Amino acid sequence: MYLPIQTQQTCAQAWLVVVTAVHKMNGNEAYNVIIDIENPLERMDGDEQVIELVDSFLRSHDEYPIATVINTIFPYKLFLQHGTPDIYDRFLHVYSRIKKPGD
Amino acid sequence: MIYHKTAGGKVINPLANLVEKVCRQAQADRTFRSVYELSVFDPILDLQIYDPAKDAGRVMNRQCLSFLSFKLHPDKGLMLTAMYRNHYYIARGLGNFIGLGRLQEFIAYQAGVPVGPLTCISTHAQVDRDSWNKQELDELLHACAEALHNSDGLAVAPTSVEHL
Repeated sequence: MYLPIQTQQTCAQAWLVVVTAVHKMNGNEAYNVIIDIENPLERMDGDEQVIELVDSFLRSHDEYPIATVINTIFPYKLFLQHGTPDIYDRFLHVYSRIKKPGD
Repeated sequence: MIYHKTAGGKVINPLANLVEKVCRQAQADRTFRSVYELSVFDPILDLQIYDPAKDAGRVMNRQCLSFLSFKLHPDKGLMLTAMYRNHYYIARGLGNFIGLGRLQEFIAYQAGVPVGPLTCISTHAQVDRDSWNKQELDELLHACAEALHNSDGLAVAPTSVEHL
């Protein structure tokens, strides 16, 4: 029981294809969906528009912006600002500031 | 990014350990291709650092990303397979894919190898509809399809997310 998605070139293209596929499934859900992105860093001009459309959509519904979701996987801006290995200490520093009491 | 603490309070950084291993192997005469695994007990929902004593019994509000497996491919470079226990494709999917690609870039850059393909396995996937209705979602997907359809296919510098 799985749903294979044909290999896509970029993240935005893969996202649209997989969302469209699962959206057609009964209950808008699927199990073991396999997505393959040939070049996850590549951006075409249409990809930029997709990212901005999705970001605007999420913001307008009080969801996390795309940049926030990206940073929960990996704090890319901290990496650009501080490089390695300082990023690790900086992340702990930032984390200690945003950490909720009791966490 | 995740951290664990030993009983003695020593901080363990699994990502730093993995980067070190990938770098060492990428430069070795004999390279092990498939020994780079990362179990994830954290980010996505609330940036909490996982506390096994406190969080192990939680059922709700757990992180969705479960496991990362990196491979050093002789031609394609650093490949990544990511496994999700549950995946919200609208609220999280696109940001997750981009973020995983950047994680690959971070490790590949230090190892001096190219970034390879990203494979994502969503063991359960949802086109989430908590905050929006079907019509709004259909309009979004239609606009995205139009954007890609009208694209001239030229690669551009990845700038926009930097200022999002």
